[in-house]
Amino acid sequence: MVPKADERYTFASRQPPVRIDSRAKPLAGSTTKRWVFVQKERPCAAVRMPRLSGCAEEVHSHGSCDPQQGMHRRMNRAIRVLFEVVAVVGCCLPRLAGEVVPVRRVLILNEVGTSYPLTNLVDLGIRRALADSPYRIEFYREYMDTVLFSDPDEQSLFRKFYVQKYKNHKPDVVITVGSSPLRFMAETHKNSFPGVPIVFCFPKVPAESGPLDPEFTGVQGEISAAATVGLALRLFPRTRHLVVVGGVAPYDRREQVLVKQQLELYRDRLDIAYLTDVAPPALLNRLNSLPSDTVVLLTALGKDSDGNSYTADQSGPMVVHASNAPVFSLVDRYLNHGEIGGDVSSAIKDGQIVGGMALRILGGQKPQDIPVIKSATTYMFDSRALKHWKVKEKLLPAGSLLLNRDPTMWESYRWYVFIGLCLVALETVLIAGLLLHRARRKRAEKELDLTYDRLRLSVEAGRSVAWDFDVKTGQNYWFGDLQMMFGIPAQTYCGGADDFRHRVLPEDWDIVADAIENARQNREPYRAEFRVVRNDETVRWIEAKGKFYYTTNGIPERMLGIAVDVTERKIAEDSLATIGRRLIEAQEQERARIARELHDDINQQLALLAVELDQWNRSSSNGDVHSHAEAIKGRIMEISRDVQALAHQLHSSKLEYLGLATAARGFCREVSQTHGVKVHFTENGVPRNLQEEVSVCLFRVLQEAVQNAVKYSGADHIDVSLCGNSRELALTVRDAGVGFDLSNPTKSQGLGLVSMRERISLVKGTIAIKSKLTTGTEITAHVPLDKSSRASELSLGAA
Amino acid sequence: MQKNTRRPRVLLADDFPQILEEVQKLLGNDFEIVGFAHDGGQALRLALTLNPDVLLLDISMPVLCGLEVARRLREAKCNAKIVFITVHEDHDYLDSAISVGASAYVLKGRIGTDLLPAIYAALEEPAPEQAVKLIYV
Repeated sequence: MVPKADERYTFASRQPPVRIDSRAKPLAGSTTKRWVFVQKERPCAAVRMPRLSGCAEEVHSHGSCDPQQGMHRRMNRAIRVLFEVVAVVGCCLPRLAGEVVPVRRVLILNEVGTSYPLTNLVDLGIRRALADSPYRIEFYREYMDTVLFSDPDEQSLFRKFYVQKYKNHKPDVVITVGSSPLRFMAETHKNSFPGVPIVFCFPKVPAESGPLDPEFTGVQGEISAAATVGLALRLFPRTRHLVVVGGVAPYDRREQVLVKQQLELYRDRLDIAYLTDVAPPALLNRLNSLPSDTVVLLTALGKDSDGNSYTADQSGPMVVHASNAPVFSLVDRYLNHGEIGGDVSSAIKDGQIVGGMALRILGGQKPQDIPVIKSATTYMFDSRALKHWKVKEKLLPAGSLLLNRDPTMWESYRWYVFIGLCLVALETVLIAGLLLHRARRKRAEKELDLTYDRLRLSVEAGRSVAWDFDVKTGQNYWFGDLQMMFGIPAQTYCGGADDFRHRVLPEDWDIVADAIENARQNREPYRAEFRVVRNDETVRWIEAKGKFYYTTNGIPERMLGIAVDVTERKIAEDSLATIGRRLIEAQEQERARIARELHDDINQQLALLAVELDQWNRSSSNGDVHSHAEAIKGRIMEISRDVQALAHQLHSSKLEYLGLATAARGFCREVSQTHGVKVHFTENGVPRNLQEEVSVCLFRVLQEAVQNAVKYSGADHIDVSLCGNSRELALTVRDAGVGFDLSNPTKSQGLGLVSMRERISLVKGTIAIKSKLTTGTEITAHVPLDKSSRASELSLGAA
Repeated sequence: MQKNTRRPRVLLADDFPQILEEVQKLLGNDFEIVGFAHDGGQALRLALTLNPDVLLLDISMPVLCGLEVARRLREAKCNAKIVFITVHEDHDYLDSAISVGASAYVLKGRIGTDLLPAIYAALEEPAPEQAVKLIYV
C-alpha cells in the first residue's frame, strides 16, 4: 500500500548534506552534468537537511513533524529568525540614521500561476537568494498562464499589456520562469526592455528559442531520466518493463522529448511504453494492471489528453495510487505522494541560482559575465515508498536525501536511552558507593566488635570492671569481671548511681564522693582507692581511675573509667608492712633486750661491786689500800658509764622512762657535743605517753635525719622541732646545708631515706623530703595519733 | 637540831634483790624498813598504804618506772621523801627526778658512801658522822 501524501515530511540523510551551489562547476564526464558535490566514497547517509527541509515546509507547511526534527527545525528557525532580526535591524539602522536604501525592481515573469507548485518553489528560491541584497527589492510578478490561455492571440494580448505596463517603469532585472516568458523577452527585449538584464530559469526542459543577446543569462533546467532509470534497474533488477507517464501540455511534451532521448540507452534492455496520451480513467486502469516486472517513470503531467489540468500535487498522488508498480520521478514536485524518487531536479534550487544571478547583476555585474549554467539534480527518495517496495537504503547512491524517513528507535530515543543509561550508571555508582560504604561500615563494626572484645577480655583478664556513666540519665553501664569484683554473675550490668553507692563500703564512701567531686569540679582525672561489698558480703579493695567528659557548655555529661580489684595487692602490702613492722619490732625488741640486759644486770652487778669495794675499803685501815680501792671504784664506775652508753645506743631507755621529747632533746645535745654542730631542738604539745612504736619510729627517723644532716649537709646549724596535737605528731629536721638532688641521692642517703619511709609507713604516717642543691634540706614526718595511741595513754593514766 | 625518838620509816623499791639486801645492810638499825617493793606498781601501792617517811626508789623497774611512781605519789599528795637509787648517770634522768619532787639522787655504785647522807638530807636531819656526803650529780 502506497503511503499517502504525508503529514510528516522529513528530510534525512546519514550523509553530510549535498550542497547545491551556483558556484559549483559541472562534473567532468558526468552524463547528467550535475552541479553536485557528492561524497561518493561514503554510503547513503541520513543527515538532516534543514535548508532543504525548508523547501518542504513551504510546500507542506501543514504537516506535523517528528519531535527531533521539529527541535532541529525550531532551532534553525530560531537561528534564522535571529539572523533576520539582525538583518532587519541592520537594514533599519541606516534608515534610522537617515540613509536612503536604494530600491531595485525585479520583475518575475512566470509561465503558470501560483496554482502550480513549480511557480511558488522557484519564487521562494529567488526570494531567498535576494534576501541578502543590500537594496530594498520590489518584486513584480506576472503570469502568462499558458496552460489556460494557450491561444496565441490571448498571449499576444498579455505581451502587449506587459510591455505597456512596464514601458515607463523599467525593472532593474527581469527573471523569466519557463520557456514562454523567455521567448516573450527574447522577441521583445530589444524594443520593449532595452538594456534590462534578463535572467531565465528553466526548471523544466527549455523550449527552442533563438539566439539570445548578451544581456541574457540564466539556468537551464535539467532532467536526469537516464540516471533515474539506471537507479530503478539497480533497485529492481528484475525490471523488464518501463512505463513513462506524462501529459500533453507543451512543457510536458518538451520533457518527454528529452526523456525519450535519454532512454534510448535502455531501449534494448527494457520494454518502454509511453502513457502520455491516455487520460484517466484508462490511464489509471492501465497503471493498475501492470506486469510485476515493471517500473513507472512519472514525467510532467500538467494536462491530460482530455484537456484536464493537473498540478504536481494532483497528478503525483493520482498516478501513485493507481500504479501497482513502483513510480520514479524526475522533479522534486513529484515526490512525497508515494513516488520512490530518483535523480530529481529541484525548482527551489533553480530559483536560488537564478536569484543569485539577479543579485550579482544588481550588484553591478554584467549578464554577459555570468555564464549560463545547468541546474543541479539530486538523488532524492521517499523513505516510505522505499519501505513499501522493500528497497534497502544501502542500495541508494551515496549522498542521497531521504524524505519521510522514520527515525529509528535509536534516533528517536537515543537521548532518552543516553539519559537512562546515565541514570543507570549514576545509580550503579551510587549503589556501588553504598555497597562500599556498607562494606566499610561492616568492617568497621567488626573491628569495633573485636576492639570491644579485646577491651572486655583485657578488662576481665585484668580482674577489672570498666564503666560508662551517663550523668544525665544516671545510668551506669558496667562490663568486665563483675563476678569477682561485685559478685554479679554477668558480663555486663546496668545500674544507677545509687546502686554503686550501696556497693561501696560506707566508711569509704566519703573518699569516693570527694574524689568524684574533685574530678568533676577541677576537670582532673578521677582516682580513688576504696572497698566494696560484694553480693556475698565479702569485701574487696578497688582502685578506680576515670575521667569526666563535658558538653561544649562545660556541663559534665559522661564519665568513663576502669576499676581494678587490688584486694590481693592490698593483702600483700599489708603482709609486707606487717613483716616489716615485725622485723623492726623484733630488731627493736632485741636491741631493747640487750640494752636492758646490759643495764639491769651488768650495770647493777658493777654497782654492787662498787658497794662491796666500799665496804671492804671501809674495813681496811691501810692508806695505800684506800687509795687503790678508790681507783678501782673509779674504773668500775667508768665501765658502768660505758655500758650505759652502749645500752643507750642500742635502745634509749630515755624513750621508755623520760618520753620522746626528753630523749630527742638529749640526742640533739649529744650530737651537738660530739660533732660540734649546733642542733637546736624545740618541742610543743608532745604527748607524754606515746605508743612505743610511734616514739621509737620518730626517734629513729630523728636520729637518721640528724645524722644525715651532720654527715652530708655541711651545715653548722640544724633545727629540730617536735610538735604535737591531739590528732598527730610532726617531726621536722631542717638544715641550711648544701642539699642534694632528690632524684639522685647518694647510696647512704638513699638507704637512709628508704629506711625512714618504711618506718613512717609502718605507723601510717607520711614523710616529705624537700631538698634543693645549695638551699638545704627539710624532712617532715607526720604520724597520726590514733585512738589506740590515745587509749594507751588513758590506760597508762588509769594504771 | 630536832629531837626525834621514832626511827624514820623507810620503804625500799628495787627489782634487783641484791641491791635491796645491800641497802638493808647499809641502813642498819637506824631506820625502820616498812617494806620491800620489787616493781613500780608494788612500790606505788605500798607507799600509798604504808605512808613511809622515805621511799628509796629505783628508776628502771617493771610495771612502772620510778619516775612515774614519784609523779603519781606527788599527784596523790603523798609526803614521803623520795630518794632515787639508780645506775643512770645522765642529767636528763636527774632533771626528771628533780621535776617529780625527788629529795635526793644517789648512784647505785656510790650508795656505800652516799646513801645515808642523802637520806638524812632528805629528812632534813643532821647526818651521823659517817654520812657526810650528799650527792647531787
